[in-house]
Amino acid sequence: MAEDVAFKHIEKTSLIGKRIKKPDAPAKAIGKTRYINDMVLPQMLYGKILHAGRPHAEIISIDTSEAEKLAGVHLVITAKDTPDLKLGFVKDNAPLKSKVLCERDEVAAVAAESEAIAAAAIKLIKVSYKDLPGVFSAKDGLKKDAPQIQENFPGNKSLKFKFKHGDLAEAEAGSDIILDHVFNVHYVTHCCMGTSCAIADFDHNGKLTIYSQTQYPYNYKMDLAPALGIDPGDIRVIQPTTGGSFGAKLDVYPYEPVAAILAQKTGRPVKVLFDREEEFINSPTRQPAAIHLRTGCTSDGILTFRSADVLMDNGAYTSWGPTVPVIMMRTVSGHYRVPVIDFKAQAVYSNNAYAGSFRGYGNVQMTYATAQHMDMFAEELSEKHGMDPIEFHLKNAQKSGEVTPQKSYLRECVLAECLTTAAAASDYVNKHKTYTEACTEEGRYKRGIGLASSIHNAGGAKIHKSDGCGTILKMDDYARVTVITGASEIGQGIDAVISQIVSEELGVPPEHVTLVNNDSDIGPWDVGVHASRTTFIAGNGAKRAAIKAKKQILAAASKQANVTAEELDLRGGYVVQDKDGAAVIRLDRMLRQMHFQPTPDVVMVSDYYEPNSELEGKDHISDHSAAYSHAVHIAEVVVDTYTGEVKVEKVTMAQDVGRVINRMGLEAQMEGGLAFGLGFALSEEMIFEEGRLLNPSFRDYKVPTAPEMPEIEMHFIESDCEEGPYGAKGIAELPTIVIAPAIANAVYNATGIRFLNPPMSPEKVARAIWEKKQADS
Amino acid sequence: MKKHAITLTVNGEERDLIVPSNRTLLDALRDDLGYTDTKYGCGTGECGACTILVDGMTTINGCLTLAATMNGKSITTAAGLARNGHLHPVQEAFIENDAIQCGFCTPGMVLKTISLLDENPRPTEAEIRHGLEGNICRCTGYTKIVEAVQDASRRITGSNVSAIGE
Amino acid sequence: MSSRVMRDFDLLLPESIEETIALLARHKDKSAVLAGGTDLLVALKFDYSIDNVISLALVPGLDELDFDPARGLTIGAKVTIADVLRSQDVKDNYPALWQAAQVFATPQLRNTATVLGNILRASPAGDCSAALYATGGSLLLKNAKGCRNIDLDDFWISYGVTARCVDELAISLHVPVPAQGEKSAFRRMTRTTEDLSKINAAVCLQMAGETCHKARVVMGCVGPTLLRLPKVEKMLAGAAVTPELLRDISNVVISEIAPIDDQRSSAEYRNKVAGVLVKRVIEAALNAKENDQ
Repeated sequence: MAEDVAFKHIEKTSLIGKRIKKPDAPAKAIGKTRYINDMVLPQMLYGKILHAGRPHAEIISIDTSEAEKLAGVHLVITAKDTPDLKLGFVKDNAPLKSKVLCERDEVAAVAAESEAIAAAAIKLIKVSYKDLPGVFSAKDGLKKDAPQIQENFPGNKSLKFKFKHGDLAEAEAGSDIILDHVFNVHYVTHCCMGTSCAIADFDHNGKLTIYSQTQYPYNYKMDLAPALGIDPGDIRVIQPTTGGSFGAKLDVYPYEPVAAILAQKTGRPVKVLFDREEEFINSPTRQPAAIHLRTGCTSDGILTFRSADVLMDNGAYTSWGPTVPVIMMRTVSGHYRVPVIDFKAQAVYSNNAYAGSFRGYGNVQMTYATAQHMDMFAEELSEKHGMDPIEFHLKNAQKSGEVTPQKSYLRECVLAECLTTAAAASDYVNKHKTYTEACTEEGRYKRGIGLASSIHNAGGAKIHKSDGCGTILKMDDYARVTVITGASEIGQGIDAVISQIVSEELGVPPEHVTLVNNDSDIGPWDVGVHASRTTFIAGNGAKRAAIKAKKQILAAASKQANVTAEELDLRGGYVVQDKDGAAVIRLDRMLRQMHFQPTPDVVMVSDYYEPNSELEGKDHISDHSAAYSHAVHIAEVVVDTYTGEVKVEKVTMAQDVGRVINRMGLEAQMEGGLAFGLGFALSEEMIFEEGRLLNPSFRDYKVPTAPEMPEIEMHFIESDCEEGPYGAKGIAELPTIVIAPAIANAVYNATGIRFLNPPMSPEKVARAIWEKKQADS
Repeated sequence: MKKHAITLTVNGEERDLIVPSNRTLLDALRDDLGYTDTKYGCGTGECGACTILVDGMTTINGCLTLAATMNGKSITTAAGLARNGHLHPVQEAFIENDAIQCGFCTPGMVLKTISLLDENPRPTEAEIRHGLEGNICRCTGYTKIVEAVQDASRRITGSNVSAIGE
Repeated sequence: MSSRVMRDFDLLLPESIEETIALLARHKDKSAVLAGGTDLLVALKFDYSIDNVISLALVPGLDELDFDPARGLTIGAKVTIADVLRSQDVKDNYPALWQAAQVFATPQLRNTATVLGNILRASPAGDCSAALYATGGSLLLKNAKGCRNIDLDDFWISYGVTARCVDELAISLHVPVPAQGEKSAFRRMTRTTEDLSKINAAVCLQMAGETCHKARVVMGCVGPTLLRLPKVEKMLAGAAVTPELLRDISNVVISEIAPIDDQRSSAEYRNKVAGVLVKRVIEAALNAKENDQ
């Protein structure tokens, strides 16, 4: 036994549930982090795109001659240079357009020596348009005489979804209360602080290296290739640090192939970087939707059916936006126990902006409706039958082991605990009663408290053939660990979670774990950062890889120590005896001994974790996520009934997190997610007039600033998910999903008015209050 | 367009440069001098990602300042805060409190915090929130940032470190 | 062009008031004066084109912020909103101006934006402008021929248009000594805390006990320029400010304003809340303790 281990004992401790700092935070704090926006490559040119700025038009002619003559301009391209290239979910989009279908349409692009020259050249391109009558709502798009937007989609019909379960007529007949409302959920956008950027660079063999903000690097290659006419295998994706994403970069958008085409044709690296106005106009939005929701309930407070008919404005092209019904219908069929379901959704092409994926993915929209219906039932049952509102929710809350009509298997379900915890912590029942009584009294300021809940996938969503993630783990002779994972870091903190998990298994400090996850030529496959899946899927992968490495080390150590591997453990940088923590050998020494011997035994392991979920099929009946989770938010508001201003003072939240891994990162995701939902509920709104965005600036699109945020009280319910790493579930979307209807229900409690169409701006709230006053008097 | 020869002291280093009339201080710092820690977020003074300190503790938006009007000024960016290998207590507090996610707003947030604490070393929560209203963060929901400012206040007032870290 | 690329212009850096005036005389409407620049630079990035930008950065004698109990308040052309906010004299004697400065834009912009710039911008949403319109004041303008004073009452002509001649430099603003019993306040409404006003209001009341002798009442974002509300001023003059009077006033306000729909709010909403805001700002002026917003 080596001297340095004599009498050394190391207790078993765990990092799980502890507060772990983000490893990339110091570099970010001192400004050393190189974001893609900061990158300059030698010989790099600057690309700039001419956007149409009009919603629907034929392009009669484009004259690029003046732009081409400008000193410093290398190339000007238009659709005629890229005739056959397509992109998008149904390949209805193109890098450059020969006809204008929406305001953002990319008509021409320039590569020049500087951004200023490129901008000046864009102004010199003369385009002659013939404006066409446009379609500016889904309803108008369905009209018989509506202009057809996309050649291959007659009647402007885009994607369509359907799910039915049970006998609707029978369920309606058996209902004592039927609610029937249309909720109109508006346009909002991500507003990533770092604007969109791509840098493309071809090598001498025709292989493209694209520096990208994408959050799905591996399928990105598959989607980008047809937009360039090259093989996906000839694309290398490098992901420099990105200034936020939130779903915005889950697809290929035209500026990316445009950068690549300019690079290909000039033989120089080309950077395309949006200014803030372009970011507002040309980024995907959250999918707007008109949700016609009908829900039935018995006088005993048992839900009988839910039917949802969703009409979506597809905009001019199909990105991920109109696919959100896949998640919407899980909410319709799984938000509480509902025996009979009738869901349909239709997306309709228009000349408006088009939507992409956005944190919450359809569930922000649908929960805004379902959670308000739940509150309406609770109000009515309480008023007419004296039913306690929490009791109503509990009666319909699923229990562990239940299966929804779409076959989501709620293996560990703690909705009831979330409800009772949040209600007790906020004194919901008493406050709700007090405010209800005060609602009709005179007085300027009205208080309200509102409860909302929802369900969301918490272990990925198998909408692609694989929802898996690859991990490669190696240890060097100094016991430093390198983890190569397919999972991307977009600010959410998977770097902290993976180093924490790996150090938990290997008994090394988290600082000794280096994460490599920004190069598709190095990393193994992952489906992307979405669907609250990364801690769950990549976390499981990292854990499994680390366990393999640990087994290999302990097997080697067991020979040396003459004990079985099961009697050994890795702790604090040592191989130790599991029972008493007595040190056997320092880990780095062990690794060197394994390495430097006649038959070298080097720690280099890999793992591919594929969750046990089922592929989402055309019938939408499958257990498509490896886990499901619930959250309850209770919002407390003050409404100024003279001005319609709503102030959210406090939010109490209880969420099933499975198991807390990194407590600090978890809190941070909750707070950040909540801010998105709060902005959506109260102040954020893209204002369109005939397809043109009227407020493309932070001056007129109001995201929450520090003073708007309420006090937040968090309760993490640990359901201990069998499949999740250490029992954890994915967590980051629910906080965005649940807060808006909680606020809406609180505003109802304060004013007696329902707001079916967010945002609850002072203008809308005040008008409703005045109208109610007039109607009452 | 006229060009102007100016001298800026950036993070303690004197730098001579020639800028065209319309060059913003933000672009001069980023593109001419390589201080990419100062960020472009909106270009119209709304988001605060380009916040810098001028002549001590005055925060301004680099995107709404012409470089040529800044001759002789002393500028501090986030990259210039560390002293003798130690990060500034505000930077430490941001790291320790997980106030950083994507980090794009962080340099501006850190500098705004330093100036805020210089003016008011023991701010109330409301004063902190009001003081940060010119800095947009899209990731954190601000809670952890406010906690970091409170922590930084304790670090600075407790150890008598002056806010600039000298 | 865009928020990343500013259009071309020549920046001129005069070193005295005389030199500045000479440059203005030469370039006239082909030039713009840059003090804080928080409005001008945004305009230069987007819709505004100008050949020459005349910066006041090197011009001495324009940063005076001076209060004299006998003469009143002088605000030089380079005095920033932050300077005003730091002034105890302003806080004590001109609460409306101080309150407007407190909520003006963002801390960073307050460090750069100037009070005179806000006035010269002639925006109906100008917060400091609204406060100063209520307190009253006069601008000192200077060109090669000499100086003139112009009352703020006569200065704003329409949206973005003022009575300043193209060759005139605004040197300073003079605000009179507060009258005996003068009380003033500023209030506004916004979408989020940091925002342009969707509607704002300022009042300056000369009180003797419960009775108001004279009142100036100003409202912003309800017309092409900031508006004074003469009917409301008349109702206040010589009257005891009672809850009943405030209720009557709040009903009259709507007849004096002409708001429009824009990105920040609607005409309907502004009409509806204007009365509430005027009532609130009068109450704020009378109840000085609550003046810290």
